[in-house]
Amino acid sequence: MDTPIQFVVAPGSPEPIYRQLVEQLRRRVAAGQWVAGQELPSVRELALALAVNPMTVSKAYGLLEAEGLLQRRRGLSMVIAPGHRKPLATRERMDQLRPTLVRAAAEARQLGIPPEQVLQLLQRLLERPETGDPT
Amino acid sequence: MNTTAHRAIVRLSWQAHTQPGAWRYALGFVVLLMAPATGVALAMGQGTGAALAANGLLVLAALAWLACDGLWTQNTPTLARLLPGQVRAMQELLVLLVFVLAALAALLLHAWLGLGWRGFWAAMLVLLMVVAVQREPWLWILAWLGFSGVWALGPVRGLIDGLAAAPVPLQLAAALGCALLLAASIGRGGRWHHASQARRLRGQAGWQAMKEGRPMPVAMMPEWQLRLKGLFVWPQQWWRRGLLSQPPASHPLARLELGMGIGGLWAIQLWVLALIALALGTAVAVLSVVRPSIDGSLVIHHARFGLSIGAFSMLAGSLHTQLSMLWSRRRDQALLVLMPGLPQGAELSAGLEQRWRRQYLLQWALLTLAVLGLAAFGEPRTLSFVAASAACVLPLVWWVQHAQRRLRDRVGLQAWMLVAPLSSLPAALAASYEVPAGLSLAAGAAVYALCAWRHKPPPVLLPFGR
Amino acid sequence: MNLSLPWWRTPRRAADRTLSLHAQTAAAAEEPADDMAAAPTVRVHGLSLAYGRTPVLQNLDWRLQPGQVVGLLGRNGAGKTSLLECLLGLRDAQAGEVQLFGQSSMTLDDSARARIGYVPQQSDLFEDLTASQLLAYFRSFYPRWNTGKVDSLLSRWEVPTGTPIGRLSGGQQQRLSIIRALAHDPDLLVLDEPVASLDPLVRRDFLRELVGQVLDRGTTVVFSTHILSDLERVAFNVAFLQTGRIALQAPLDALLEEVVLATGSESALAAFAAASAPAQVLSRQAGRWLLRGADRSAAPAGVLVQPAGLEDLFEALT
Repeated sequence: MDTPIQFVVAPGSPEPIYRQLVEQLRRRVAAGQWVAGQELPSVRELALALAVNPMTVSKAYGLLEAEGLLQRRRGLSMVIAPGHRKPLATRERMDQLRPTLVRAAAEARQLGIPPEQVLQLLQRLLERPETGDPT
Repeated sequence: MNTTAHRAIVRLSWQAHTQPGAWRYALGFVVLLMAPATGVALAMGQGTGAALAANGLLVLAALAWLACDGLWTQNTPTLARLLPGQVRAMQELLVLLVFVLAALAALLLHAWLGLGWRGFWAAMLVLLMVVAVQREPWLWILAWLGFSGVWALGPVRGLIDGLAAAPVPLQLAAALGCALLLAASIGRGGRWHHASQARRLRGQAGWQAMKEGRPMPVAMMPEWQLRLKGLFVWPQQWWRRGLLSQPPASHPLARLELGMGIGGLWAIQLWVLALIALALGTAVAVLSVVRPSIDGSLVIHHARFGLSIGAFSMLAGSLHTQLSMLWSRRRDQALLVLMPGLPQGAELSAGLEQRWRRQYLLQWALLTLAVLGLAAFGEPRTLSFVAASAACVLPLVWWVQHAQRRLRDRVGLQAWMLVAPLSSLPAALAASYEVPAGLSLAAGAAVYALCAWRHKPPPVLLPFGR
Repeated sequence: MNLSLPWWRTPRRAADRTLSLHAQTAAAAEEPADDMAAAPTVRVHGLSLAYGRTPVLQNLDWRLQPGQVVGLLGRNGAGKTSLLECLLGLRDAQAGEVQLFGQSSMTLDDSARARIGYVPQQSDLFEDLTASQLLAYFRSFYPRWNTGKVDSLLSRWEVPTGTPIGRLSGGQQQRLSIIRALAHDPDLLVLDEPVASLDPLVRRDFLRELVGQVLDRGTTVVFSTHILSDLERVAFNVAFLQTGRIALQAPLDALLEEVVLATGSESALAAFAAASAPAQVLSRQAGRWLLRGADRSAAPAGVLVQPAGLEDLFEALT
């Protein structure tokens, strides 16, 4: 089932806004929440809705198009490209998750937490998420 | 010609004058001078037409002032640089306005005095002066100097006659010159314009501060003015240092006054009084040496007005701001009034009033002593005069506090400010009847006692939560 | 929309719009080159300004291309306001020249003035007028006036039109100031801390307005603000003002990607900096260095490398 396409940006994070948009779209598509054929808001609409520079939005769309995730149609807004009708295989999804886990692992090492405790915490969080995943 | 721009400029001139309510002053000016103008016209034996023309000139003068005055509000450096076409439209409008007004004035002058072209040039000259004085208010000094001496009138008259009699091309050239001068008076955002605007803003800030009973904001004062102020204000700084070096929580009311900015004014007044006495004494001494024929006592007798009215006006001036300052800047004053250690409510009001009365009495006593001492060197009439004006001013504090405690103290020109000048009337009577000084002082003291007897606690308690 | 076209030539198709924006993005992702095809909207060269004996701007060079949205960052008292005033010709500089739309800023003609909008830090509105009277006054001078936008903004931002301006609150006055600057559809918008007293909702709406302006008209926007989150949303380029010069102007995205914050001991940091040789050290503080272009994964053990946020850049570069 496809959820409506809505983006959220968090200024103040070290990640540039265009990258946040790109990552959000990648993750949604990988999870199967946004499916092929779904229309994206136009650059203008999204820029106005988020109060973000239109060039940023355009850059994000451009990158996603280059990756093959988005498809441009003549005279109409962008859509999610076909070939992403079903969610990605677990392996590709794991690749998506990997950067976050790398960061978590680095932090855990810095804090000096033993791996078993980290895994226990991760298990608990996966079974009962305490906070909703915003992306 | 962009007429929408011109209309907008005229509209703004009406909507926002440099001084709010300027048209009221203009109206007052016209009404005040209507009778004298009519009188003069009729006295010259020219009939009602002339009288109407004279009044018309008055109205024209007021209109000219208002119309030109409204232009300077909108002539700010930022707008001059950024608003397309504003400077040009203002220049065109000003030139048009001045020429039209000069023509009208010429017609009226011709109807009244039959001056012909001389009327036009005279009006043009006056209008140019009006514009110059409005643009740079410090030019008032020059204008006043120029006209207080009648010596200026001769050459000016010659100029007007010469212009009126000159051939037409020369007159046209002179008119063009006037137009160029007027166009140049509109600032275009350059350095002079910035300086002029800064001066204007300082003037407005000073005016506003005076109306609210505050001293001029320090940020707006140029360096030389601050130094000059320092010459007069050092006793207050000395008092301040003395007060602050005391243990904290002592003298709470004095500290409250310090916070309000009115503490220690008596010290300044004493210093100024000493300066005046010194100046006067020196003047008299110098005169007696240079012109021994002049009787010193006569000089002092002639100085009686300045001596008494000047001194007592200074005294009265310290009264009017006191309570109103508590609610002209309510935020900081509210914090002050809530300081720990201060009496609250009725005690605070009564305490402040009593303190101010005490200060007033002390200042009055010192001032009267000083003034009487100086007057003693004059004639006996001087002594009566001065004593009588002192007696008139003594009960003043009750009147002022009466208004202040009912929050009816609107800062600005008030009736009681005229007491000091108006006390010259009973003082003159006393002088002419040579009423002994002790008698007038006793009468003043009796009035004071009467007010004290009828004194009730203040109806409004501080702080009152504005 | 091709942003270097004049304002009245806007293509109609959405596809063209996104296509050209994308192309423009690719070009604008680098620093503006000297031989850019479009004439710069603002060109500052060698600007020097001093107040008395205190130098404020020293030999400052700056360039803004049409359609750029540049945020000007600098500490309090660094001279942001002075720079913006010099830009518009409101202040005489001791040396240097400023050109707006190809004309000297001291002698702009009326058509150039009609394309400039300015929101000063201290509002200079006429205190005795009401908002509608003020807007009517300004309307008579500008050839273009977008009445619909003015009315919609006045109602959306809740600016009372019948009260004298002197009686409005600070925020309302600021909103009116902004409306006045936007009303005549300018091609160059200069904003000096425009949102300092606005609540977050109005700020967001104001940013949307800005974005709309940029989209519709390709307005060049320069604004100085301390609210970094606003800057991150709307500004594509950021300029840092430091000791009287523009220390750095670069697209914000590129900066945020390339700049890292490295913490560690001095020797380790020096080694790291030397190791990532073409990388540029933007600032050195006790134990915290800011490097641009360093490879994150090549950090030695004693050095912690984090991506830098705009606040870190602000601290280091201004």
